[in-house]
Amino acid sequence: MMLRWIRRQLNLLDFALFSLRRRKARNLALVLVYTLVVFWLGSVIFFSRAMQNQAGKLLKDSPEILVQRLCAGRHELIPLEYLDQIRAIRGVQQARERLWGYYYDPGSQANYTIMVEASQGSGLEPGWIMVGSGVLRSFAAKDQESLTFRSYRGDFLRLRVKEVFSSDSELLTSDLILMEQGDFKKLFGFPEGFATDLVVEVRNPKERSTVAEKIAQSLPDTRPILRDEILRTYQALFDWRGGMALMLLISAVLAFLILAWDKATGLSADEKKEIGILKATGWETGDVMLLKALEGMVLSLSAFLCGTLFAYLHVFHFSWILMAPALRGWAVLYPRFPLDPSFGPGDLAVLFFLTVAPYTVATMVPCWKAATTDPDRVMRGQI
Amino acid sequence: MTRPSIVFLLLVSLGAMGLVGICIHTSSLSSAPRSLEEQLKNLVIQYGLTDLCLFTEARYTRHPSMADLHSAFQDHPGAFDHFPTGSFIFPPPHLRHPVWSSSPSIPPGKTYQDLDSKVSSRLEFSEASSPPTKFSSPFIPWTPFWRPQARK
Repeated sequence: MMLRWIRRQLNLLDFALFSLRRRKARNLALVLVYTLVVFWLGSVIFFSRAMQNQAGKLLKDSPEILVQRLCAGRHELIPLEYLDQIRAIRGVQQARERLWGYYYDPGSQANYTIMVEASQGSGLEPGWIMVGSGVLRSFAAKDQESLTFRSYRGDFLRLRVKEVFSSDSELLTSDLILMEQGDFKKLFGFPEGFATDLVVEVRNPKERSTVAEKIAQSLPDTRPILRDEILRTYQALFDWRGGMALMLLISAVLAFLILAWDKATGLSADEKKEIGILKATGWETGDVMLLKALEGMVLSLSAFLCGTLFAYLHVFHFSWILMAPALRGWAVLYPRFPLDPSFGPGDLAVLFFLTVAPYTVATMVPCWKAATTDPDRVMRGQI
Repeated sequence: MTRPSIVFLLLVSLGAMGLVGICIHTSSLSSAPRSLEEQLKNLVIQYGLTDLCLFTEARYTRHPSMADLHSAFQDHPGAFDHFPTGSFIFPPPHLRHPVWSSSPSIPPGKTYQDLDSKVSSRLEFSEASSPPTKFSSPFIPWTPFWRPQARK
């Protein structure tokens, strides 16, 4: 019984494949477009999931609480006296200042992040800097051993490169220039007794939000940013259902809708004739529907498998080369970094139901309409 | 002669096995300890880094989580958000719902959110119970048609 059922399905599949082969050019074009849609949707989902994962892993150890001062709605330098008030809050383990800012280099037309090292681990001395690989790639420097900056007074400050961050770390350090505190103040005319923001460490992680609330209450002109909020920023940024990924998805979904709409609006004259002949030669409506479902499944599965595999290769082996221009925007300096593959069966299931299910439904509706009509009328093209 | 259905099923099985293989490979990668990852984490701890270096075109796209008021009109009146990335990135969630302001001890009117028209209008969509916010922007915030208007 079972064997008979399998043989019947195989026969129907054979028939469906021969039927598709009869309209070879049309079906090949359809599979190509369908594959492209799956490829693009898959690329966006894989990329956003990998970025979420990467950001979550790397920024898990970012500062627990950051305190910024706001003045007239804008980020302002924060007085170091605030440190004492923060340290006095129960639960605060440590509080220190961070000095950082941006430097625009007119030669390369790029923005760089300038930072004073938080700990004295690397032992930077005055006159020396540590730079990311992207800085050397883009900075308008004659040699790779020193960089010349234009200070706030207009005079030139030449700093020698002590170390270049590994190119593997470009995702974090590509535009980073690390310098000694004195050089930083000399470059920007940074006032004494101020910092860019403050880093607060809390003894008990459960008290983070309470401490942040106390900071906001005792220093009303400040804004605490929790580590969780930093992590949530990146989760939201690369959520494929919103933000940047949604913008990229919309174009693919629109293309797919046109494809599905074209199928749903009706069958070609050949297809109608074929259904009419099948019905006239004794095929049941159920058989015709099954045949058409198999045809749709062959096209959908082929496009889904090819599109998904190509998307995987595109994102994780060819560094998402087709998406890069959209992500770069007007940035001159852009990091080169590989992405670790990170997605699960759930993501594949989402991709499957976003593409295969609507297409199959769209193809079944006109077939059902034709299969339930009188064969004579169908063959005469009266529906 | 081999039946086309068998050839097709074989090809589909191969493709499905490829996908399963990719999934297994991916999960084994994420669970394995990796030296590069450790190296990057150390950089974050050592230098107190807060953001990924992805969009370097403007300060609020370079450090989205540190952005002040990530919105148009932030540089001067009438200044639209002119960087392409600005149209991709939404304001960070903590500008909309700061964790530390969930307590009723901070009055809603005292948060910095009210300074930003874009953030405030987003708040209107998400918090049906929140009182209407005063806007300094010359633009009237759009209210979705499905949302019932408050009775006067």
